[in-house]
Amino acid sequence: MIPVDWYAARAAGIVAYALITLSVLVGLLLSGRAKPKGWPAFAVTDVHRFAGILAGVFVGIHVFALSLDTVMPISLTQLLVPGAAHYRPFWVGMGTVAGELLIAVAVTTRLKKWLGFARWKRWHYLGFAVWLASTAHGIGAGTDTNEHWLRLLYVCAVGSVAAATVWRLGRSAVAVPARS
Amino acid sequence: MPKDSRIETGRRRALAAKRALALVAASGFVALLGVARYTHPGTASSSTSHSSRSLAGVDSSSRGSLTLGGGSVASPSPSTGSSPSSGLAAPQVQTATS
Repeated sequence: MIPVDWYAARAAGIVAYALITLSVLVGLLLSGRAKPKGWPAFAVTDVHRFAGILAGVFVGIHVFALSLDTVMPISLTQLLVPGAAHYRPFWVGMGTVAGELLIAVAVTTRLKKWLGFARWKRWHYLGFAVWLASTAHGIGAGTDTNEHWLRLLYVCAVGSVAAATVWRLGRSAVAVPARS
Repeated sequence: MPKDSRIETGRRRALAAKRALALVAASGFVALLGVARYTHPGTASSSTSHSSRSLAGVDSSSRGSLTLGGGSVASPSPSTGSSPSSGLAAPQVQTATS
């Protein structure tokens, strides 16, 4: 029998990671007030939000496929409690943390009006934690980590987010003296 | 009006980008299903993939404590026949893990 659930779990995890990375990158562009030609801020925000939602869908497929797995069964407790899994508990736990933080980011975005912009923005920085935890989860717990193409994906993801973060911090450094 | 057309252009671009993103994500998922099938260790035949995954899934920390006990080979008795039904015809190998 072909373990489709196992392949689906791995494929969905990788797609979710790529989408989380894209969402973080677009979010950094937005917060750095980048103005791509022909792209108003609302359109960039729309794409950023959609990438996050799509990432959530693939995280859902990843978790659902893992819950169906009969070779290495994973209970609801192991899915929800970081470190409870038998297989590489720390690295799988990082995935649990990433998933739960992603839910927190989604919920606080829904409550943006109620929270107020400043408080929502502080919560929204959790998106970085989601990306960091999912990177650690993928590298530490992923079956395909040793594959060259996946290593390349991780290198590109880490490199692009690091570069975008440096660019974003640079924009802040320039903006602060201008305001004072 | 130029402002309206700019907003409309932005909406159209966002919609096109979202559609493209959904399409790329879905096709990437399907492609990765195939890649996962063929890059997984022990995929010479689908019937072995489960057992090989069980071994691959063992944590490296627990692999270190995996020891194989001494095996024993039961020598066939010369006094018995070679019928498989006797249960003594084929050498029996036993291993123990701790």
